[in-house]
Amino acid sequence: MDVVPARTHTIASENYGYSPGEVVQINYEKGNAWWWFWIACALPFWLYTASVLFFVISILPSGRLYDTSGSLVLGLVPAAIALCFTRMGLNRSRLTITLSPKGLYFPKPLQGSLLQRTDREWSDIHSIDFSGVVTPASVLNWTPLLGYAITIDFKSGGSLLIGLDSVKRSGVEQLFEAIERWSDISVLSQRAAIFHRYLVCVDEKVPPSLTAIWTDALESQFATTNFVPLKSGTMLMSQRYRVRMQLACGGLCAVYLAEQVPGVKVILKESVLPLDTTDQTRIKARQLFEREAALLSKLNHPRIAKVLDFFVEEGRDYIVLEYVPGINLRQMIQAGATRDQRFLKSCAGQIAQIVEYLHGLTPPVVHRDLTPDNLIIDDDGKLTLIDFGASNEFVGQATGTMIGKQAYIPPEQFKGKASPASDIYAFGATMYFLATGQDPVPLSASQCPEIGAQIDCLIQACTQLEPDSRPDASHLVDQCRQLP
Amino acid sequence: MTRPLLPISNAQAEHFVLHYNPNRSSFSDNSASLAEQNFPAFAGILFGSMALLGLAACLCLSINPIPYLAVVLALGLVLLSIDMTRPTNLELTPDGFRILWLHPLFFYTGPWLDYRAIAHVTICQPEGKPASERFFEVTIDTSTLPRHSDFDLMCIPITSSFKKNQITIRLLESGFFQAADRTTFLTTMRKRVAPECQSPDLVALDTFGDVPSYTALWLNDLQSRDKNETKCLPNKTLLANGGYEIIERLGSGGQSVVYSAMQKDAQSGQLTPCVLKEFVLPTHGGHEIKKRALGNIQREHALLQSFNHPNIVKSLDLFTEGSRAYLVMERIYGSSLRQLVDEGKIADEKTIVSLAVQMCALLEYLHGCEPPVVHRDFTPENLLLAQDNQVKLIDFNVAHRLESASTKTVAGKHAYISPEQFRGKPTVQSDIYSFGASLYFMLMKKDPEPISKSVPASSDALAQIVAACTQPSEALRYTSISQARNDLMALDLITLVI
Repeated sequence: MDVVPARTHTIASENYGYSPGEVVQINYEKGNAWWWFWIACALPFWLYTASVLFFVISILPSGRLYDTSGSLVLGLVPAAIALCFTRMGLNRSRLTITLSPKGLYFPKPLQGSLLQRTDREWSDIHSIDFSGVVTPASVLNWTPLLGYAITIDFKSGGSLLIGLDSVKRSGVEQLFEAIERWSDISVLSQRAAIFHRYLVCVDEKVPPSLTAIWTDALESQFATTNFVPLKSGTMLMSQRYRVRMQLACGGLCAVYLAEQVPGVKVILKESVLPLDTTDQTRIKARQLFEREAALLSKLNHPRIAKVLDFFVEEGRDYIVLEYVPGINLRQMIQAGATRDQRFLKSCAGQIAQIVEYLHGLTPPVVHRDLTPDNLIIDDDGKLTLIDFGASNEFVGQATGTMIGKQAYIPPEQFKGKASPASDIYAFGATMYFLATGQDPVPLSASQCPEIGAQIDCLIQACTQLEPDSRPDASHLVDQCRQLP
Repeated sequence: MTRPLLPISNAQAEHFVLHYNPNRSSFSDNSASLAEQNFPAFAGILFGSMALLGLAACLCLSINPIPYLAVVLALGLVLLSIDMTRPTNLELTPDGFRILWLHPLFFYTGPWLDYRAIAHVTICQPEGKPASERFFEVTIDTSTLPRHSDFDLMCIPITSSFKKNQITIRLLESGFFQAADRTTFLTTMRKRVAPECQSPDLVALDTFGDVPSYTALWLNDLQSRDKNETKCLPNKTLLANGGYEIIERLGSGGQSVVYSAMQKDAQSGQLTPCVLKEFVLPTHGGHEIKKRALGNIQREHALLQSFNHPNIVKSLDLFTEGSRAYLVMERIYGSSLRQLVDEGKIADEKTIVSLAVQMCALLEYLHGCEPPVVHRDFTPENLLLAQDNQVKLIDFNVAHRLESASTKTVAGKHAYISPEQFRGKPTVQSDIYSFGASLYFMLMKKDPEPISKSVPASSDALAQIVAACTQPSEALRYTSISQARNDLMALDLITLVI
């Protein structure tokens, strides 16, 4: 019967037309063989039940008609057991899904839900969804993913459910990578996108207790851009860094998770100057960028993410930062962490020390972007400061545009005159967020008397609108020590 | 020769169409759709268990189970056959068309049919149902066709109950996977089916769909993936199947790159100059994020289309190509106020005041809309002076209607942002602040000090107006743009009011 539809006709199985190196194969174990094992084991029980039933029937007065059929059942059961074990053996056979630049090729045993058409083009993918509640821990220990599945829906009909208990983690990673390479990564649903993120980010170094939420609002991290961000697999700095995935983007910058080739994860911050920037501003912005990056790479504090490298490639600026796994303070508060006095004191003390270190340098370093989003907390409650807003700042200076979390920006920084006191304001605002769980009102001195007199006093002093009336960093450390 | 395959629905097959409906963006009913897909298996389990339970019950009650089993089996077969007899796809070629049944366990290809067999094509809107339920109805007269016994058998569920020799195929309009499929279907029907068989509604229907829906935009864009990845478009690139040709890059802002281009009319081949604003859509956050990003651009497009004012740029079209979206706007020949001020072409107070009066009229129009529109980014960059001395407001990217919730982050050029906008609560007065700041820039040739009252060194009366516009406190600022306009008119400096 001729039912090969026109759209898939172009990929005839015999002429794939790609070089062998480009093909990705995913091993897939169809079905769960153990299911049949348990059925086989349970059959003697059914045999017993059936014989009791037939015994009951045979002693009923009108049961004469069927009382001899018990022997038939007795004969059938061993046959059924044998059949189950055979099925189990058959199911263990490995199937292979082949991915090539032209499309996806599924093995024949999977054709049922694919409407008999096992060769599909990449453009035929309608969407990819993920079912199951995923946590970093479940991705790390791949085994308990029973019942989790990826569903691929096709535009021309048909879909395929890939149970994650049947594939290896590397197989799924390859599938996602192939989608980005040959199709469009935006076919992923939000849940699938989060799962993809876990796949790339989670490794042994992530503390297993941080299973809370990473399912942060993706929408705030992705917006339209002026340039096309790098794809996964791009090599930078003559093969030194390999982009693994994009973590955020918007306007003129993007953040990637990358690998320094021996397998060490790093964060790459990319910023792009608008194409029609005048050469003069371009040079000025570049000078500022290089000066600041050089300054930052000299920082050496265990609780500040290190700036490992900086470079310019194809007209885009890159800063390479240490990768700090964990969740940030905003996510932690949103997950419902307790905000007791001990926690506040510990956070305040640690942030104050980091600020003191930065401001104690000659010349003092102003962070400019101290917010709950930029402080990562680990298992022991230790904070690490990440993300120097520096690269954004240069683009900002070049274009006169400012984008940021306005609740943490003091008036003088808004006017373009950031000073060490600006970080103190951001510190006060961050403490207000930690104490109340809410962003403070922008451009105002924050107060929260219900939390405690001493901490309220500290927050009020730090968020004064006049930079001169705020305490300096060394006083801050002392005040934090005296907190209850 | 293209042979597109179109998914079909018929009247009884609503749930089948649902599975194919590309509008299904949330997958909360994922299990349900799978159940539909594995319908035979589910039915098998259901009827198998019914049969077993019944058998056990019969044995216990010592009734002869054979009639019961026969009934269950028959019911199961009927249900299975209903599922199996729904046609799924339609194949169109210039010579003829055929109907396909592509089911998980069963497939059947109908014979090639001549277009002359089509008795009637129409578009129906079921009463009391949303517009998305609109479907095309193709009525085929089988009396003229050569007999195919198996095909007749397959067609029983779609045969009209009153007229024996008529089969009716219904295609949900929203069930087309790609807008291109819908276009192909429509153009083929118009071209091949005799005019007297086409309903007037169908003839009047727009080939390309009324509004570019997200689905249409997005699904089309998957077909045409761009290969020139990270670079910006070189001159003479063709976009939208040759509908637009890039002439040159005009500039680039924080969110988008702007090109000048030529729009080519498909029918007359007439060329119209236009401007293309290119946005790169985010791909990594899942398709919901991409949809939202595209939604923002669609909102800008819709907002611009809803305006009818000589001082606001007109938006002509919106399309996507690859992972980029393009907003097509009218071409304005002129420079931005910032450029003109930098070049010293706007210098005397008279010109500035006459421009300011135009800006007032423009803001009055925006603020007079229902609900009022706050532009939020009213800066010298976003105001163009056209060759006929008309001020044109461009870039409504961050503009929003007052009712929508304010966002967490603040965007804009900070010298032009009012304090309340910085706090995330922009009002119509925020635009007045930006207007005042822009006036200061034109008078003083430099950006004003952010979040503070700006007083330019100009004639007293004018300086007072600018100061009253840029009061950081909303209570002290002009409450409406008309007040500023009246004060400007009273200056007696205006020689030329356009």
